[in-house]
Amino acid sequence: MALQYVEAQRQARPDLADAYADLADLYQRKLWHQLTLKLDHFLQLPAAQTGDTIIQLYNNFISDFETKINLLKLAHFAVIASRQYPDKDAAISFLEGVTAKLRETRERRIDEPVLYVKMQIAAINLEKGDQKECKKLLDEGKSTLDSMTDVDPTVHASFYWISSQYHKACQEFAEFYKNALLYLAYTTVESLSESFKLDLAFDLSLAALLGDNIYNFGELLAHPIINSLIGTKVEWVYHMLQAFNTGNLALYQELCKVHNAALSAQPALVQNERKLLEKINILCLMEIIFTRPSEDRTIPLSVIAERTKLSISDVEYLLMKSLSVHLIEGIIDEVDSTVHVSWVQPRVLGIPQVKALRERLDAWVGKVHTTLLSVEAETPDLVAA
Amino acid sequence: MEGNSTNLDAAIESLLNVEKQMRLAGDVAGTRKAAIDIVELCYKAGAWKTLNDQIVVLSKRRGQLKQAITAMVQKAMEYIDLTPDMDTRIELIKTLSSVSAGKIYVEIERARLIKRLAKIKEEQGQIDEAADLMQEVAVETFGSMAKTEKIAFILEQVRLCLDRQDYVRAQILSRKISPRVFDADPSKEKKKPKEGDNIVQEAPAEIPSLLELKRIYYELMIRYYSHNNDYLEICRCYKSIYEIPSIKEDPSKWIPVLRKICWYLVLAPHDPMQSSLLNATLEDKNLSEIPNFRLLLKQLVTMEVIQWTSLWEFFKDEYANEKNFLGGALGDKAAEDLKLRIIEHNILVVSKYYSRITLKRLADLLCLSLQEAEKHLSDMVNSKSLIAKIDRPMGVVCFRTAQDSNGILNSWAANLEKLLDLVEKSCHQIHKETMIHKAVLKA
Repeated sequence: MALQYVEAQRQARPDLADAYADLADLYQRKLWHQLTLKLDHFLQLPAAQTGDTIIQLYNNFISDFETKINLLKLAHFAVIASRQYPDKDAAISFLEGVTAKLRETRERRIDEPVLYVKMQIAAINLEKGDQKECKKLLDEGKSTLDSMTDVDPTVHASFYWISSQYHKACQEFAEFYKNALLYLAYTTVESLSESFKLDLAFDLSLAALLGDNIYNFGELLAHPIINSLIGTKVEWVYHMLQAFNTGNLALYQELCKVHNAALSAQPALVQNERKLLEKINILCLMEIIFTRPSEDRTIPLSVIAERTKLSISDVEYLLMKSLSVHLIEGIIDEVDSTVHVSWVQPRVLGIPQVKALRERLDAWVGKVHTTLLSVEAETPDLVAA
Repeated sequence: MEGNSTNLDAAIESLLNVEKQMRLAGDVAGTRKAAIDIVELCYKAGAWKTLNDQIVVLSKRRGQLKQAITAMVQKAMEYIDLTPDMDTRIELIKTLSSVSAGKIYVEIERARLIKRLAKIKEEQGQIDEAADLMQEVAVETFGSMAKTEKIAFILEQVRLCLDRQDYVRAQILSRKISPRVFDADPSKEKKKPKEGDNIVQEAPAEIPSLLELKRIYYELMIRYYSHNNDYLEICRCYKSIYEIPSIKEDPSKWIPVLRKICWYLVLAPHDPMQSSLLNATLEDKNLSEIPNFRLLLKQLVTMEVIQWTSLWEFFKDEYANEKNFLGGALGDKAAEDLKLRIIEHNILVVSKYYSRITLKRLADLLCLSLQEAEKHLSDMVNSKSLIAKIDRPMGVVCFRTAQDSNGILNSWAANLEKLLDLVEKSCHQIHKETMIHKAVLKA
């Protein structure tokens, strides 16, 4: 039956004749692994993306030997096929059928393929606008994922991608940022298309700027995906991130002037302008603290006010905010108008920041060496006495 | 009329003779039947006074059998609903209850009678009398009364005490119910009755289920704690109601309860129990259904100064809305307490972030006058929730105690130990990476 279908398709689709012939040959010889690899390649062909080609292939050919190949691969194929359905409910029914089949096999490790398929169901629900159902599936997926070990990266990537899209739909910037970065951690950048990378980089940049309690941009700036912004219309967001990462208030204000039109075109940025200003001020504060020598931990409020261009009372609010989100630890003395900072949250540093740190360490090593020499000089006298 | 009365008397006389013979002969069935017949006869003749008299007479017979009295009382109770007027009904109930007094074998019947009488008194507006009547009965010692009926009875006692504002007694009575009984597993109670154990009677049909009684219990406790403005306990009561399965499954039921939980959490004074309840509630997934309340709790948990005016502006409609929900309005007292709580929160935040601050600045942050700020600060110091010293001439508040040399040395040692741990960990990680990369190069 499966073989007949493939032979029929060879006649009907001359442009895919060679591919179908290969599939038929491997099927006859029962080389399931090689057949899997060939199918994987087939499903990437542009010519195969038209109409219901993939759906028919799955239903008439792949389902014939579905239990003989790696089940996770089968799940991958099913997900690709489901994307061809115009009707979302039909796609969900199809995937639920696949899930039922997977469960019938009673194999030990079916959680991975089942989870992978369920994440696609969640994605379709999200596209339908059913956020509640999507959320439910994500929560179940989360607990399943946590209970499994040695999970294939594609399953992780699938979960985090759907999760990030869910939070994007809910306008939850911080969660989107977190999940999208985790998605990238399980995905090789080379496998992504340029336009996809650009869109994701842009979304991540906006989420970083707008997300509550996100003050650590080094991770994103160090990731290769951010380079896809350079040389494009939205390069301004890259520079904006750089300004935030270094706490450079002057550069930020300059960018706001130059790219005013682009900024105004982003409703989320317009609505959260005050929050953005607060965030750049906090990062500016962190940079001030970072650049001060470790023996000088007490900072006058006037210094901070000067650098952030705020009034003294606003500086106090800024400090309380920073202390509240645990970016710094310290104590404010309002009478003396100073703040003593005992700790700053570790951050992923950019190359210039690492260079500055190295210089600091070298200076410290020099001091230690000097101390060592002076101790050595004192030692004979102590021993003699 | 004269003829009827004569006939009734004659019939009763002959039945009394029969009863006497049966009783003396020790015939339980015969005695019981005779007693029931007499009661029935009086009822059919509509002679309520005679009925009362005969009940008393029969119960006082020498060596009267328990079974006969039980049967007679039970039969007579059936007629309570059939009395022609209220006075007659009350008279009958009183007769039956006085006859039952002191007799274990009819203690359940007596409890039910008293309950009926109390209800009548309550309907007549005599709350005090109703409460007194109910308090005489100690159902917790009744071995043969069903658990649910006992609980229902005690809850009635509590409710009547609350209705007459006798809060002390209400609390004492409420302690007779252990909240753990509501969580008992019914399937475990199918024990085989031992020899000589009391046979537990089935509860009457109108007694609510255990879970319904649980809800009633906690609603009564909410009324009790409300008179004391004990917000934390009120919150815990709502929490228990929230856990009831029939409520948990129905959003239209648990949403009002969850709102109340949030309000009372915010109103409760700051303490470890309140803090843990607050964090537990924040993790409740259902909170996403009422996002404003999640925001409210979030603000309390976040250590930032809260602007009272903007908070009240945002929430006052929600606050007023509470009167439309289960449990009703929170009241003006609670609104004042809410403001007080926000002020306390703000003072705690300031005390955490500032070592020294001028009183003027403190007043600015709290949106209060100087005197008010000082008063609230002093109150908190008095209640030991805060450590602070005020230099009134200078107008300076100090939130830090002077640390002695031992303290400084200890904190220095702790910091040093932490630093060395970090260094050791770094070296270990570097060493591990070196080994891995060396192995890779070798391969």
